[in-house]
Amino acid sequence: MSAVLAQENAADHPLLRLRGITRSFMMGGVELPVLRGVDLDVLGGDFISVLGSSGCGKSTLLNIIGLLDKPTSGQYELDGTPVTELDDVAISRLRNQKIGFIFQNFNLLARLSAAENVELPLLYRGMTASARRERALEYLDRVGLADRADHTPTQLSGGQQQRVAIARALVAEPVILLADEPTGALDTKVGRDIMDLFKGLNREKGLAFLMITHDVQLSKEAGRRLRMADGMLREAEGPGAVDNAA
Amino acid sequence: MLLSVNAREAWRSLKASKQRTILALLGVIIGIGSVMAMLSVGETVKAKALSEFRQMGTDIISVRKGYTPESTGSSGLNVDDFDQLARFSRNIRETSPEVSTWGKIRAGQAEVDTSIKGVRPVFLGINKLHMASGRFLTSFDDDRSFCVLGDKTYQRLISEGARPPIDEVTLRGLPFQVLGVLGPAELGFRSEEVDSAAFIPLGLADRMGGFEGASRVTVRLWPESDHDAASAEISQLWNKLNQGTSALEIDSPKQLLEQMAKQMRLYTLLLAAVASISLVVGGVGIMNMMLVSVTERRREIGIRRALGAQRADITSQFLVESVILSLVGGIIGIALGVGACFAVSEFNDWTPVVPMDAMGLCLAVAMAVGLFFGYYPARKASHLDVIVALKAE
Repeated sequence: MSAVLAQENAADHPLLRLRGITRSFMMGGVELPVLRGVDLDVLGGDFISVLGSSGCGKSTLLNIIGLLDKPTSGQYELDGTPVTELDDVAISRLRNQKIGFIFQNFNLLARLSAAENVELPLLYRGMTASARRERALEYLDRVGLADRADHTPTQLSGGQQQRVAIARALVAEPVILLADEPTGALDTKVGRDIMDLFKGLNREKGLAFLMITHDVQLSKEAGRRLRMADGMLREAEGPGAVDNAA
Repeated sequence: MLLSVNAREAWRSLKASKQRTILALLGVIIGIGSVMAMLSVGETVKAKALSEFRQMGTDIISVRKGYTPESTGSSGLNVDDFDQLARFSRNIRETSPEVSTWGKIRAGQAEVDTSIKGVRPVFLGINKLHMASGRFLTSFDDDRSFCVLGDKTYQRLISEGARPPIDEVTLRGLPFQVLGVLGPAELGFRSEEVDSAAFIPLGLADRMGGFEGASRVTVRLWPESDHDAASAEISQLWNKLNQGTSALEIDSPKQLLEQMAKQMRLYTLLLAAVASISLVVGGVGIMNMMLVSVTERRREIGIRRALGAQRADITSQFLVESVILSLVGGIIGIALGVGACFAVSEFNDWTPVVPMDAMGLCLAVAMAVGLFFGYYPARKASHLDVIVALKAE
């Protein structure tokens, strides 16, 4: 399902719907609550930043939203599908089709070329080699790296690597892009370009973004700004729909 | 489809760590190599033996005196008994008894030791011998001082200084006229014995004395005769004729082949044990390398999982890698094993035989080792915690 379609259905159900999400870790026999009941609705076209200091639980929240982790309690619906009870195969499939990840350190596979990196999500979808290649090149072109398709990550600059990572996230045509300090490893100028690319994608394609950062300036780029503290999510000041029932 | 991508990436990652790959493969290489060497050397020896027996003739059985407590006194087989046996048996076509003794043969100044065999004219044909020069003994020569030299006997006399052509020799002090010289025998294990003998008529040998009955009787069967039935009949008749006072030992090519096969089985079993031990060691080597590889690539596994790879995808990726690894070892092992077979064959002057089914078997075993020992690391890889894996360095 494309992001655009999700936006049209926004009235029926939000893209993401989190209710009472908690997550605790066991540390030396002591239960350590990291998330203490997070409620969040994300609509199609949302550009959300979550600001918080390190250890506040924003990464844990991102992992739960990205289906890498399961909440201790609470309800989570992704694009209309309740995900808390799904098995690994269904979770992997959902992750493959609905979620795009952007990491601080890019997380490209060093042995693979840029195009092969971009092809990865399609590979796990069972697409044929020629179709994969075609789509990968199309998305590399979209991030301005058509001429770097056969370069390995080490042959690319940091900004180029993050663009490849973005192409890899986009090629799956997810409903939401989850970014963890996407400009953290880049210098200011290049970071600026990457943010402009995100904003362009959000504006033109209506692709939803959720970005976590500890950088206040960066968080201000978002249309909707949230702040995470003490395992709770609160609306920060600024424009955007207020939808936090906490 | 995913498999071919996995195979390509596995190949790349193995190439990236060649040294480690080769070291990890040593056990598999040795294991598969010894399986392959054992099977192809086995085939080679078998083919060689078969061709020797075929040369000897499959319609031939060889009868020697057996050993019984009562038979200690007499030595050798009674030629007359044998002639009688040939007359009664339905299976025997012709018999060629040999009596033999040792003595000196002298030609001019040259003198060498030789075995002296008294034989009948059929000896030539029944043993598929041919003349290098002159003629063999005939039935008209039976009590005359005629002699035919074996190839090696002739060569040795020449090398001792006898001047060719050798027309006359002295055997145990008696003069003999040389009728001819045999070409080299192609009798497998009996070649040496025939090549280094001198042959005189059986009747003459009888009267010369000093020969102790027939040491061996070569029997040619009728083409439709069955070896086992013929052997049984011969023993039975023999026992009747001799009232059980002496036994026969009957060697047929078939029997010898069976005996050899039995020996080969034992040898094969032993080598198979060695091979399976080194394959287990090799498998553990592969498992170890795969475990290291999984640890080193936790981050990659995390990334792949984050992009939607299912556990089965990760499992198959690492299984493909370990199978490719062990197949590479298998192929190297097969090459070494075949090489060993060629070397052994070269050394022994055999024609090397490389059994194709053994090659297939070796590849299958290598693959099975890869699957079996790769499963645990692959499963471990697929069950990594994605978040932990993504944070790994």
